[in-house]
Amino acid sequence: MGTRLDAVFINVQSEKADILASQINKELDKLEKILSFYRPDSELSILNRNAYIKDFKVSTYLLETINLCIDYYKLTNGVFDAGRAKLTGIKYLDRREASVDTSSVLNSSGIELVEIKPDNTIRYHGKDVQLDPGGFGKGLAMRRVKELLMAEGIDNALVSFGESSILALGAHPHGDHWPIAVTDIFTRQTVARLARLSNRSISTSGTGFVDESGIFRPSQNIIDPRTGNPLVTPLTVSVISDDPFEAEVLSTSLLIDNNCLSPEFEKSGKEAFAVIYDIRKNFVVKEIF
Amino acid sequence: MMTYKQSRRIFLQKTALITGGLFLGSHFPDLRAMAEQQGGSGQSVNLGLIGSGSRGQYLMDHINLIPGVEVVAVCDNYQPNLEQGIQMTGGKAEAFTDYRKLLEKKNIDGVIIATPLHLHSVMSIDALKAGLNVFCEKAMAKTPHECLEMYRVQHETGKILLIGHQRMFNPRYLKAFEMINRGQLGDIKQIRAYWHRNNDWRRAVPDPGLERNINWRLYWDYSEGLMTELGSHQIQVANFIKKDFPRRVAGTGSINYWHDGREVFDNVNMVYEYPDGSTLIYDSMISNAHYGYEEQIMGPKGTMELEVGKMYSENPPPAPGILQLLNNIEHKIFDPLPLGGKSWIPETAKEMKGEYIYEVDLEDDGTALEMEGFAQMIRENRHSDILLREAYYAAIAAVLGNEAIKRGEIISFPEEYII
Repeated sequence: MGTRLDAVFINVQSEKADILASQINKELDKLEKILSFYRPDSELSILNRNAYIKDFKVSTYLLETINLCIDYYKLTNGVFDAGRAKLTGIKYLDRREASVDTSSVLNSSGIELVEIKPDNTIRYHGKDVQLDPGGFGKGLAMRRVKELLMAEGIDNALVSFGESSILALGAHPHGDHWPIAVTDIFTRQTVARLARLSNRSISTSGTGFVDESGIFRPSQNIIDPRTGNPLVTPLTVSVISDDPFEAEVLSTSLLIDNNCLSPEFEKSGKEAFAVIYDIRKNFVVKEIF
Repeated sequence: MMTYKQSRRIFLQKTALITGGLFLGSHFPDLRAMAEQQGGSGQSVNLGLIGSGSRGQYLMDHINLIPGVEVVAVCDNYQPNLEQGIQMTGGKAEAFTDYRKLLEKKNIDGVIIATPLHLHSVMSIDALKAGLNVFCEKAMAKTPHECLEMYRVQHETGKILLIGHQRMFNPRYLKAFEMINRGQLGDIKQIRAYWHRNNDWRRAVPDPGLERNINWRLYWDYSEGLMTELGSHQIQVANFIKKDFPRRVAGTGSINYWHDGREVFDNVNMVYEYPDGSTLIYDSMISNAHYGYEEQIMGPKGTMELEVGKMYSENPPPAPGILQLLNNIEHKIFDPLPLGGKSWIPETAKEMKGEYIYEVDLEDDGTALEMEGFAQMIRENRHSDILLREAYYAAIAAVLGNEAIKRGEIISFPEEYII
């Protein structure tokens, strides 16, 4: 996945920690073989190449993943749409050109055009449908890491996936939770919001990065799937949930639209907040729920 | 993964940005202009194909994807190949068995030469002198002298001469070159390249009398074996990265597996030395395919693997939040950890192990863009001396490699062939 994963295990012997690290690596390799968008031989890449042409059978895991994506598409009223990889691809064009291709791609892509047939084969009904794990892959990986660690009896651990997806099991050895700070993107020191986590995950999505000169650069890869437009003002959204997959999916969805969640979404035990910046680099924290 | 057809416009736009940053710059066809041409709206280009065997057909597959470019003549002196080539034009192209007759045809702008190596020079020179633009498959020619003659005639005639090193049109490679140029790996100290296959390199021969025609790659009269057929690609890449050409080469080679009457080596093992002391270590074999093919570019700051398309940093910075956590635990500090934010600098994690060099993967290896680039060069009447010199030095280095093997000596690059 091209992202660093750090894991800190508390009160675990180093040999056991090595074994756990190896097990985690193996699990992530397995996931890559299924879900990597950049590996031409991954199951997902093969599906993306074939499912517009013919009904395509996938593994149980990938089928379950697609079903999850459909569930969250509905829960977020279409803001989370894993079938719009083409839109992200267009981000590399000069923006003056993007509108020409965007509208065409919008009409022929999206998870609504992914059909799961009664025999569990997959068929795409739009020529630009491409399933993209970019908005949920780390969350799925972290979910698997959590299952693995719990099965191994690890009570206290902190796992960081690229520092934007964190799994906090148990507590910091000197406290009763893990104190995780979401910091100001410009100073990287001022705490914008503190999250107190125990057996929960936090995932943070943002609209860009601050370069070495302190200037905000939109990364252009957070695209509103309803319009094809990227989000370009400096903003982060963090979501805390006991499910790392949900945390990642919702952090991106709520980044696009704070109000996208359906009324039936269960918010109990979960938190979401946005850190919004103005042109003077000052920020305010908005509690979403 | 995108096909060339699906993503051509995106592909060209992106590659234009990359080549603009390289010293290729104005010596490359105008890719933005190419992106604007859809459905043949630009000036149409008519080509003749000389050599419609497997490689010629492969090139034609790609030419058939390009709007506004048409193969109007096909030449091959082996009837089955000729028929196949004509069929690939929908039966529309004119058929020839003598390339010189094809060169007399009036309405062609250029030729594609995909014939055995020993014919590259004579055919390219004849075509240039006939006033035609030439794309000739790699390697440039069979001997240093032939390479020099081709180069000289190109300069004399002013026509385009492009040699088939398609990695120079592969955006993953171009992006890698740009990153290396910007110093992301530091000074390149060693390049390691290899090409391993496991087959006898033979084609079916319907008549024993055709053995040397069809399996020309196995005989010194027509071929320089693995060094030109495979190695020249990778030597060209190494030279482009080093912005230089090797001055010395040593190596070994033999036939150690395919004892079937062939003449050329079935394994080669070379060391090329550049003026700054860095090296290209190259080997090729055709009795084991486990490792496939790769170019490994190594500098003090990092490594790139160009075929796989990944970069590896030598000294990845540690994740600051985790370091702070470990420090806090050790000192019994229960402070908040700055871990929950988006990684605002491009994620350092990606630089550690296997960051992908190029984020969009395409099925094409550069051949489609190369063919389209040739057509565009014709439209613009723009020859690229940089690309030709790349091909020139790669071919001569490859041939010198064989000489080093045969003589069992370290061979120096002859002064008379430095252009």
